[in-house]
Amino acid sequence: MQLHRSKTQFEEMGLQVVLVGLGTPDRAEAFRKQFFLSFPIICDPEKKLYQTYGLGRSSVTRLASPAFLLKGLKALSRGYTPSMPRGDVMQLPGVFLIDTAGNIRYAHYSKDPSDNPTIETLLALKDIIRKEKKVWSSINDQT
Amino acid sequence: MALTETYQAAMDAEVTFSDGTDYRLRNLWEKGPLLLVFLRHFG
Repeated sequence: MQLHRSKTQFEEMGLQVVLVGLGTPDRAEAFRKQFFLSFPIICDPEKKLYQTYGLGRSSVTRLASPAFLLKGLKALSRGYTPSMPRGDVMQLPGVFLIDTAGNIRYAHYSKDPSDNPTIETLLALKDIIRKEKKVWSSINDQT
Repeated sequence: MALTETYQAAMDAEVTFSDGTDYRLRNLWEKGPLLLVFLRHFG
């Protein structure tokens, strides 16, 4: 998983990366072992958190679209070997950056199952984090 | 790279991690910026 290969860079940014998945804790642990992941995983089998964050579902049409199938083929060519998906395969993913004041500073709502932000986009979030650190240090200087 | 910033309040919730521990999301983001990555499925 590309996210995991950039783990050190996320740590240098001071960013906590937490994954959220639809499965049970057992399934999450199997997934973690399969992809050698060390990020914490939140289990949300009832999709409550997905719904809280406004993440919708895809359609059969989108799952069968040439663009989606092409992305799947590209992933296979990079060595990704998918296992049998469990849970709701129509569920759309998403990514949110939440600052220490509890504000969502970046949000990506996937338009289709393969619409994920690039790793470069996620690493560029350091600019937002840096800005926040400056604000906090200026507040602390004033107090 | 230009990023579209938002300032929408994040929603707090009690969550369960894969190791069985319960946590409030708020307690996570109060420790430091949090990147919440929602997966499509485990697999």
